[in-house]
Amino acid sequence: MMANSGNIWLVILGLGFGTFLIRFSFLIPRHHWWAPVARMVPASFTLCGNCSFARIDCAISTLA
Amino acid sequence: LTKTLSRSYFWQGYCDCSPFILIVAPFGLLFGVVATEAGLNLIETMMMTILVIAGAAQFTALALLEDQAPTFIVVITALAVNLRMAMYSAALVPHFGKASFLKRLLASYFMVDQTFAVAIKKYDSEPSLTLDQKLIYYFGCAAAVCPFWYVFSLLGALLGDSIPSSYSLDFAIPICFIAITAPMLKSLPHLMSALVSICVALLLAWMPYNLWLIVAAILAMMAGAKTELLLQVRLKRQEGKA
Repeated sequence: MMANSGNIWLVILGLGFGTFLIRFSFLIPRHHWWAPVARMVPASFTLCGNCSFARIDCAISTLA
Repeated sequence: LTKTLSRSYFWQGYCDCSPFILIVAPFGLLFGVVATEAGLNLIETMMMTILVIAGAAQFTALALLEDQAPTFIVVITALAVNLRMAMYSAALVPHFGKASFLKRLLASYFMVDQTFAVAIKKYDSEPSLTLDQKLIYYFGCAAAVCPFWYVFSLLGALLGDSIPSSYSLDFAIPICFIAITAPMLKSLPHLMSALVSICVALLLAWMPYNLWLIVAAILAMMAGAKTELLLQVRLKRQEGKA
């Protein structure tokens, strides 16, 4: 049983845009006004400053 | 001469990444079949494939949609699976940081596990490559992966049930991720992260909406980071004694 079509499109667009933002997050020019906002996407998932992205990659790839 | 060199780097990237076609093709085919079986129509299936280009996250989203999970949970969980790409993005800054805005946009769109893994290996082994050569090589890698992902997802969605289950296409998922993850398990913190994520994921498999995935990932990150800190402290102590 699948969710209704509206939800599917929300998921497609949300996931598409969110994934692109994650991919682009560090490649945005520093001076761009939305760079700090975009960088918050991955940063917000980093619980403390000591968690490096290498750990995120390792853990999530293993889970996936 | 410049055009010939460009072509050469493009084909080098294409050839270096081409072994992944063997994995991407059944993976894409399987996604098309599963999406159709889950109730997505052809347009929805292809839009997800083209907009997201991330197999694991797409499968996660499908599984959660089938479980009737709230939209917010579906998007957040699938994005958590894709968070590794933030690391790819950070790692590519020294190579693509000075490229034009449009080229960085395009590079971001084609940033998938295979293109990143192959390109970064090339950049490490040949540090003298220019920005253009790096970009051309990268897009060569993408050309060997992304079109096949689109085409085979389309085929899977069109063929649907007519592909016999005896073909066991689902073998492509674990093989793909073992091939990508195994070479990364180079240090004790990496191994610790992997071990914690596996154990916690199995222990919390009862959680609704696949929430075990996020919990296990966060705990694994913390375990890896803590192990790295402990190793650094031990190293400093040893240096102090010496």
